[in-house]
Amino acid sequence: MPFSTRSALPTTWPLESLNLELVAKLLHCSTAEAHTQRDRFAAHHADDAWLDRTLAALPVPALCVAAALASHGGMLHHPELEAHTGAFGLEAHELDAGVFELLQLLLVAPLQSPRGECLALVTSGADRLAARVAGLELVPLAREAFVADPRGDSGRSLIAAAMALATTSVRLTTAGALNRTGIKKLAKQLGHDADALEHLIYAGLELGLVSTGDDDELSPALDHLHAAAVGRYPHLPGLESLAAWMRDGAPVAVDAIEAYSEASMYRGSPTVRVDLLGLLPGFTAGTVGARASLIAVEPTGHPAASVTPSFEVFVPPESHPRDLVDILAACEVTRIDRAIVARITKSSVSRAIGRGATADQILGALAAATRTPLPQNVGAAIRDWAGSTTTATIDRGTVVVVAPQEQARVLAALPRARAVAPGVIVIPEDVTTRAVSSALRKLGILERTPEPVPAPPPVAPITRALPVPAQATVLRARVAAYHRGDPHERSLVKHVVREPLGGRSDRGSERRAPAAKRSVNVTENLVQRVERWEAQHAEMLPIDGFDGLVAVLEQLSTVDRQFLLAARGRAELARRLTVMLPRPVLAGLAPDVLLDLENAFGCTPPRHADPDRRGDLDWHTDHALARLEAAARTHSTVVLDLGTRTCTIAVHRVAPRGTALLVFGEDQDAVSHAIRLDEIRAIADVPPATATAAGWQPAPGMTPPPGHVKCPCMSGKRYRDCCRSAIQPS
Amino acid sequence: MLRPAIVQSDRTVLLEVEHPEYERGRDVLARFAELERSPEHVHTYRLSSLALWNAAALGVDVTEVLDGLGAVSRFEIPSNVVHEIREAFARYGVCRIVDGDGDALRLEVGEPALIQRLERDPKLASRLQRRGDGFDVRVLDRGPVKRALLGYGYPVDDRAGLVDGAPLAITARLDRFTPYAYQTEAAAAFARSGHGVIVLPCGAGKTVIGLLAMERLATRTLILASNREAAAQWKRELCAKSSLDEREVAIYEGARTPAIAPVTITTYSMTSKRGGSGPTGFPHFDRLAAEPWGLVIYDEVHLVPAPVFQLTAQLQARRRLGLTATLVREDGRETDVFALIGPKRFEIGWRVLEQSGHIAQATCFEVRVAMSAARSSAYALAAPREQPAIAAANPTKLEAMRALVTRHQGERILVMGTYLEPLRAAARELGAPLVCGDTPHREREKIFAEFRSGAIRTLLLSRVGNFAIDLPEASVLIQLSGTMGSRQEEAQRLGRILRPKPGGASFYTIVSRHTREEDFALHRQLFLTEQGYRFFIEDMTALAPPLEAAIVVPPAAESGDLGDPDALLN
Repeated sequence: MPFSTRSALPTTWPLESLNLELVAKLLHCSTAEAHTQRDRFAAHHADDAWLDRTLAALPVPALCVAAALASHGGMLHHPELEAHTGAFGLEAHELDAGVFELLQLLLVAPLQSPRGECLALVTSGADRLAARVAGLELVPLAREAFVADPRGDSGRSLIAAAMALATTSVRLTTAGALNRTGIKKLAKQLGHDADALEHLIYAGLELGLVSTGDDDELSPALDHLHAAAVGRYPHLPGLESLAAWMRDGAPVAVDAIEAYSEASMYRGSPTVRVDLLGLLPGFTAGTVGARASLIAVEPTGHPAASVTPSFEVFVPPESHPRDLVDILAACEVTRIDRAIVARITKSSVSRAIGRGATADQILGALAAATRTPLPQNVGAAIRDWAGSTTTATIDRGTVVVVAPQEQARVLAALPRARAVAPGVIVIPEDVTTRAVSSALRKLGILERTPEPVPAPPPVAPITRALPVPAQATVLRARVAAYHRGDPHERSLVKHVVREPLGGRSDRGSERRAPAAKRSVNVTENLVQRVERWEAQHAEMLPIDGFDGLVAVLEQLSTVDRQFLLAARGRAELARRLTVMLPRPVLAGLAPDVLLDLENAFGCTPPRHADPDRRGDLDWHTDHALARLEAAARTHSTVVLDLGTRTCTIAVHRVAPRGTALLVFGEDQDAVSHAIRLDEIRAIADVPPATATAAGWQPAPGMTPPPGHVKCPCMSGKRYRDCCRSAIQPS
Repeated sequence: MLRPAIVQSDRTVLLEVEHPEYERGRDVLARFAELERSPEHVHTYRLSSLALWNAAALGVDVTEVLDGLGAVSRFEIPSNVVHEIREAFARYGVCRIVDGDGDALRLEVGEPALIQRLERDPKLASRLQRRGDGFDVRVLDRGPVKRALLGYGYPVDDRAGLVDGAPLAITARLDRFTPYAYQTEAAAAFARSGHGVIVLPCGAGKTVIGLLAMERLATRTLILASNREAAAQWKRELCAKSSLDEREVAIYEGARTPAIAPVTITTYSMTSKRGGSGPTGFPHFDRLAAEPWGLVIYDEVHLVPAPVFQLTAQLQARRRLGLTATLVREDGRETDVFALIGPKRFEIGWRVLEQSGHIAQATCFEVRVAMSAARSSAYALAAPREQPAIAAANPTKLEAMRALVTRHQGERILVMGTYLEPLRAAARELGAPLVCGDTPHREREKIFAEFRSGAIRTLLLSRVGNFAIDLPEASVLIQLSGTMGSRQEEAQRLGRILRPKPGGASFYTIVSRHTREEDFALHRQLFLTEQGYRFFIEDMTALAPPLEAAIVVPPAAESGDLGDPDALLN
């Protein structure tokens, strides 16, 4: 199937590959005219102004269908489309009406796949359309009907709990869970319920507001906390974009946010768990009617804190969360409650100094956040403590030790290097060891025992808020109006009689995958990633769970793999596995692997329901990607268990499309297939009787393979040396 | 407009002082919450069980508390706090002691479950005799039972009669002094119930309240004081301000002068001396307990030692008055004070009296001085236990002291410290007398008299001056050293200069830089800053240290080996 690689969406259909007969049928014109019409729409699709005008005139169901397609990679089968547009509350006739409108504009293409009818966005307009209908599932609800959760401002509690980790030691256990003793101690210190505090800290870990050190000790991630305090999450692009959508202050139903989050995961920018959103500064949980909803409002507040001469700091709820972070950066939190209470101590000031703050900065932050003047004794004490703090700078870099007399030459050769002791030279970490070695070699200095310096994780800078396209905002408002029953919006919906979509690909236009090489890179990256991760986290894995985990990772998509590998502890890993295991892609895991996982992590994986479907073949559930890539290299034919059916295809290539890996190939009827890797539950080699079928003939209209590839008759010879002479006599 | 208070879920209430409705909030909270800290800007009240029971004892009901809180609270009252307030009020009055048949008392218990629990308590089995819906209690067991029930979380409403004691005609000499309104109010608040604690700042005239209470009750009185000087001061005040003459007021000093008079004053240490074969094992207590006292006054009730609590349990039939400036006990026995002496009946804040002019306006300073390089080195090498003595003996402190004495020339100055050698050096430096533990009682009284008369304008005091030394003329106090981080000591020392006087009072603490003294000083300041005093930090590190020889420190200290640092203390 000729899915296009020109779009940012993984699966879109090139307009030029749309069968002219189908175009004629869709547009009710002659086949001759269809060609002109197709070219005309191709030009329209590239015209932003046309697209804006068109979308403004389209009925809301059409927008919803486009949004569902764009959110899920560009292509959906009909049942999937029904399910995903259900999030918009569309009924069957509305869905049909929406599809009809899009087909009339050739914005979508009706396709037929082995699984049935499907609908794909047309490449020429896909990206522009996706940008305009993004976020439409976040249907704004009536603002005045929103009732906030009476539990209060949990964003401040989350910030305070994260900041409290600066002064009280809480570690992750070897199993990856929070050390319960540390939590209890902290809860006692803060006068908070231990379970609630544990929940907050887990949330902080997941949201990146709490970081783990080399010794698994938790500490506040100050950069992220500073950003979170103003409602920004630059380290979580998916959340940042969600916040941008919700910044208009209208409440959005939790299930709509869940749908958006699911789509975000497939877009490669996952958001956070929806139940955590209510904990974040900038989000408030509540209800609209009986629907659980969230509202995003920019955190506000004014300088309202008080510092007393007894070194106590009171931060009332009307303070800005940013002030809370600034204040607590130099204090010990003593109570998390309506008003956050903290105390300025010598050690807390020393810690702030150790992080690079100065006494003036601390005093400035306190002065800016308080409504009363700072007591003289507090100011003097902070200056005094700051002055008596001895600091050490811990940095990363490459250390070069040479004879002292060589120091000057080395410094001259490496301009950014600096000498920290006679003959001891430190080179910034961004200079590669290879560059250092090369420079030293040029000086005639022989290198001894080079040790690579691990690169630190990149720090995401706080960027400007993601802009929300103005057109998209208008469309979103129309969706909200439609749901409110706006008569004008309702009147735009036409009543259509649904016909089978019935499109077929023009197999002749299929192109060879330029991405075949990319799939190898992906595999290599995966191997490297798993090895690196294994080195970092081996201790938190149970011995009997390791193989099972690796088996799971091999089956997962990049996004899901990332989701699992981002677990910071064993308990979290187990939770994430529990989330993952019901996925169809993992349903084909071998029973012994599942049992191992169950024993090791306490997960309950699903069991296979219909083993008979597979027949008497030698099924493999492991190393699916490797098997398929091997099959692709040899153009071998394999049998795939797709859950509800089996499919026998000659594998042409395995290539990424966006975040999904697709297996491209042809079945014995010469029908092209593009099957998502995560749909495949098991793989079996073709039974000999099928594999050795003699007298191979291409399907009618099929282009014979190039001469240098292996002959489809599975003889093992090249095509030119085997069947070509019979099929294409010279 | 936002309301002035925030009710936290730990039952504290934060009240903003600068809020326009602060006074309304304060008046509401004072009815049922305990003022825990009152620093600048934010005052902290606590809705403790004791405070709520005190309120219940005064007739406040739960609706009034919840309505009052609701009226001043910025946010909805946390549901757990509402529940706990209701629970505390529900428990008050469940247990009641009333007069029984004959000599016995009757404990009425309103909860069947509690009755069963008390029956099964092995510690109370010998003290409680089940009868009907309650228990018979012997008079001697009145205190222990009240204490045990408070341990269960049930305060006892003690309505049993109190012994009137032998009558004593005593009147205040109003021709010589006029009691302040708050003193009369405090005495009246006490007299209404006959047992309880009055909390007033140092220098606010607690002795006068004792005198007024005695006048109201007109009964023989036993006064327990913290030390001999305080006992002498009580005697002096009573003789001067009441109709009592010298023969009617005695200081009981054990075997030496076993004098007992209608008003007898003794010390806690005397009462808790063990020996003899009396019923309690405390011979002096047995001797005193046999007298027909109608009132027992506990001066500086925060200092009452554990054995005295034990003995006080046997004095439950007498009226009991506790007096203190700081109801802060490091041992956490505030509940014993509540159960055995009585609930807090009256309290007035330090800053309130300062603003009304009843005590002097005090300004507090922490003066920081440097240490010489040699001393810093000795300090760094010394064992932690020895370091405070080395820091306290910093000769630069004497330079700072001299500068401060010069600054306050003409005023009456007290120089106080914990370590003797630096005090002796300071005395030599200033040419002023030093009163310490070795100073005979008679000589002390002579020196104090000279200070009061103005013959001596500078006086040095060791720890003997911490409590109940009445030197009302002193307006400057320079603290050379203190006992670790004791907040109580800091407050008591400040109290020495709080008698009202024109120009106010100045309180200096001299601290050696970069030593643990800074940490101790910070801790000691806490109590006063929580009472609303502002501390200013003054840097005198530019002062040049004099010759080390100015302070004669034992050679061992210079070498880093001080031996027993306690030997340096008084």
